[in-house]
Amino acid sequence: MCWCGSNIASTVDLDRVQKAVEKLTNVVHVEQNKYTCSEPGQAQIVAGIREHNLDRVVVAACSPRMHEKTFQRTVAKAGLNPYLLEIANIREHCSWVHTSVEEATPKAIDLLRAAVAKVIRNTPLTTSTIPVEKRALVIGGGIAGIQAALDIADAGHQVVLVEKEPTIGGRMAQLDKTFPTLDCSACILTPKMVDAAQHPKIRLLTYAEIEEVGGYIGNFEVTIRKKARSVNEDVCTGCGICWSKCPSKAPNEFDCGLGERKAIYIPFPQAVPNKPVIDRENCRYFTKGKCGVCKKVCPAGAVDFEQEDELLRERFGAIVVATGYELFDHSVYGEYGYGKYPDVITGLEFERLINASGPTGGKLKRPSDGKIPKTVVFVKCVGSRDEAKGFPYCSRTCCMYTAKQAILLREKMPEAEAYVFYMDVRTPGKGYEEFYTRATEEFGVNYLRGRVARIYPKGDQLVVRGEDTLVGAQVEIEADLVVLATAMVARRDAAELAQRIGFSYDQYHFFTEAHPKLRPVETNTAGVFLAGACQGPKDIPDTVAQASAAAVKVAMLFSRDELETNPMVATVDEGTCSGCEWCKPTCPYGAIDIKTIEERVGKRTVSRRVATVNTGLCQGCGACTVACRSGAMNLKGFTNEQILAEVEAICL
Amino acid sequence: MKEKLSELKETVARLLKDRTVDFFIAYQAGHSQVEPIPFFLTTAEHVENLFLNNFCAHNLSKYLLDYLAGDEVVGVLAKGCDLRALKRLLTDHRVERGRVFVVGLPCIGIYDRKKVQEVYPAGLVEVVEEGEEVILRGETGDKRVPRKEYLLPRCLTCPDHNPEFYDLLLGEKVANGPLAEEDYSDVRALEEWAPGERRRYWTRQFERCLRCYACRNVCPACNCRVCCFDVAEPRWLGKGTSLDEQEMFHFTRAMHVAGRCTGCGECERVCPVNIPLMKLNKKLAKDIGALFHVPQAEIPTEVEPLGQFRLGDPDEFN
Repeated sequence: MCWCGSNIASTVDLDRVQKAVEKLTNVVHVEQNKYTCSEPGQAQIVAGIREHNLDRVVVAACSPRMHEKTFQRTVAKAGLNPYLLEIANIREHCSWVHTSVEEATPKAIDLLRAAVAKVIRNTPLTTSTIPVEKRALVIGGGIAGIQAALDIADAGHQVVLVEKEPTIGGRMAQLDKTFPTLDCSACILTPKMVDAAQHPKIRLLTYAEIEEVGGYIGNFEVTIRKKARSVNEDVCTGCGICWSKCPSKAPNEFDCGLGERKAIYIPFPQAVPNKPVIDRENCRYFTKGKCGVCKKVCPAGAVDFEQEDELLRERFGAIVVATGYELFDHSVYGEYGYGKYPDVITGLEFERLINASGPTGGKLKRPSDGKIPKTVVFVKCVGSRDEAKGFPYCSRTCCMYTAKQAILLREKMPEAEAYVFYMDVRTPGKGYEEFYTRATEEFGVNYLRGRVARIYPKGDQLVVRGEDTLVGAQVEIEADLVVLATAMVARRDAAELAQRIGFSYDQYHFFTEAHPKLRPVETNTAGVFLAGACQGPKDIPDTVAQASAAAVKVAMLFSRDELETNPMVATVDEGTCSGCEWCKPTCPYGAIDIKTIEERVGKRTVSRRVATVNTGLCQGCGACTVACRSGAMNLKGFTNEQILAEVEAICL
Repeated sequence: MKEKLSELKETVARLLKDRTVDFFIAYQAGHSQVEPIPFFLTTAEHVENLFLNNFCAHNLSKYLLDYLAGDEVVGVLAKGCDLRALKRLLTDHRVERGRVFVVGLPCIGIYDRKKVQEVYPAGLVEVVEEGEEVILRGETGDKRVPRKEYLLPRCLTCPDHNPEFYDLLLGEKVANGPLAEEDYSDVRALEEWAPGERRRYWTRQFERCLRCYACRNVCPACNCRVCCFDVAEPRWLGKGTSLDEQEMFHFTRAMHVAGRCTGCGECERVCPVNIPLMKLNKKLAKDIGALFHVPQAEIPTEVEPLGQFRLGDPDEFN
């Protein structure tokens, strides 16, 4: 029994627990340590096993998530099968959630009683090994996905990088300059895009989506839908004649709809691959049945109207999910005009309006009438830190990009005024505080602390009314352009993707890491890793760092030829199994199949259907054991007998 | 229904003679008019003992489970409700469709033996239907009563008087008429009670249980090869008849048939101490219908509401 310093000992009277536990049947020896996980603590376990000839061990300490592996190794050192160990969690399940010793102590006794009852029924389990397919799948071709793919490829492994859009680059490609250095986003991103495209170990699959994911760590089976591009990528040279001649136009998504593109298009000049795609919804040939100009003018004969979606089935050993984020839809803010005022724009729209490849060629013109704005108001925390209309979390990047945008405005147009309404200014990054100081001191950006109460039109301007809480006065600013720093939110299909691959996500649909501090790039599903803003709002440096971390995890996995399997898997008692197949659709991992067995009944041989478990696919979740009415399904290490024994130890 | 007896005899004799079936399950006369019993025919000579009237309540398809090994084809007589039970067995892969020859029996309702015996304890000769009334003809005279009040509860909410599928149908299909909607009125009434009141009610019910397992034995959804109540290890349930063990039995049974109950009500019909088991089953059917958007929770389907993992399942613990 571990004190965990004072973590357990201050709330649980371990001497009293020891007295109670010593009396239990099958308990031979009880001892306490200040830190059982310490080397002396572990040595005591080994000594105890040898001295008393123990064949089962219960460690009452923290959650098995923390030290189960440690103590399994400890008992193995003493010659016991590691699965003959049981952990009684008297910290997270007991001392940490109680304040009274009188409540916590009897509960700790109960938890130990249950663990003892269970451990007696533990049986030795052995692991087997499975081969590792040393190819990685990276989902999402933004900076996170590109970095992860490059690092894995540089470690010598094959990578398939799947991107939903026709080009890689992601959000970073849409940005103008990056804080705090003000270097051009495209200038630092495009070399990486090109590296990814040219790397001999990376295969790009753009305009493609994940259809289905099966299998398990080391052996994922993934179906990828390569959407019909209507252009043969192998033949196309990217010469651009097709899109210069195309007669149909549509709003350009890459420019947040502020500009137009053709129906056959590349999203932006540095797109990788530099091969166009036909947007069939807006193409005259597909909507009206006639046109075909692109096909006629293409010198390479690459345009292919008959092309169909293609399903590729690939095997991977690991998956990096780097699907990024979306922006909060600010039309829920009635006080900001429900998203209806053309001159109330988002930060990302501002990026496009000041970018040389943007719809205005880099000249800041407001969307409504193309006028050059003289007064620009920036509003921070739109959708962030707002539980009523948005999300309670902080989007982490807005303070910095708003400062950057205000600086860019003042730099390009020194005559323009910049006002920033803020709740707090958060600058926790290298060089960030200095950057913010430059905005206020060097560039004279006016920071006003307070929320904006209302934005309403007046003439061809917008009146921004808010409170300056530092002065304690109402302020009204007549602005030409208002830029909202809208929250970073999870992609609308994030939950669906997580379900498809089989890992968890939080209440905001950001993907959940296996441990918030110690396993920040792993998911709870072995072999699936996270990179970038799909896990939570992140700026570029953090995203790149996480992507590289995820790549190292993948490289680590691929440094082994074989993986040990989890021996805690479901088994079928064929004698009891009715073959009702109830378990089969209940299994989230598709690990259950039905087979036919033959047996002698009376004087004849009859065949019968029973369930069978693919131990490679089984994750030991236990859903099948609950679905099985007759108890034919059993989970090794958590058998029905063991769990009933625990329940009886507590209840009877 | 009686009038179909001669057709039944002919049919069964033919099926047995030409070896279409190796075996047939139907009814024979019991102690009285109101108590027909199952009848297992192996030769055509047996057909003289066949019996049929509006008290033939037993769901015969459950007996198919006893004839699984081997490759015989078993014939069975099935009403609409029995067919739903058979569908349960087929959906659970416990019975192979190719091994069953279904003789369908259109049925407009089966009388509740217990209710009839209350007004006619002995000497009932026959039951004659006259529209919405029924004449109980006995040795001591006739009694005219409203038909509906003497039907089995399941017949009042019967979704289809004709079996959904069959290999051969006895007589013509009957018109369904306006079918009573399952309104779960008795469940709703219970739901309105205070928890303590409900608890006392169910305690009174479960206290009576003899643990004879008749409810389980007759249930088409209780079709496991090995029942959890019969195994010694793991000890899911103690053998004693204390209230907590009784409750454990009843809750487990109800949960094991949740989403799988076909609403036949056989459990309640055979209970020797009249525990209202269908109230529990109906409560679960109602909740499953509402929670999983299943319009007819008591009709077995390939996709079971409780027996599947869906991508969209709520994952609220994360």
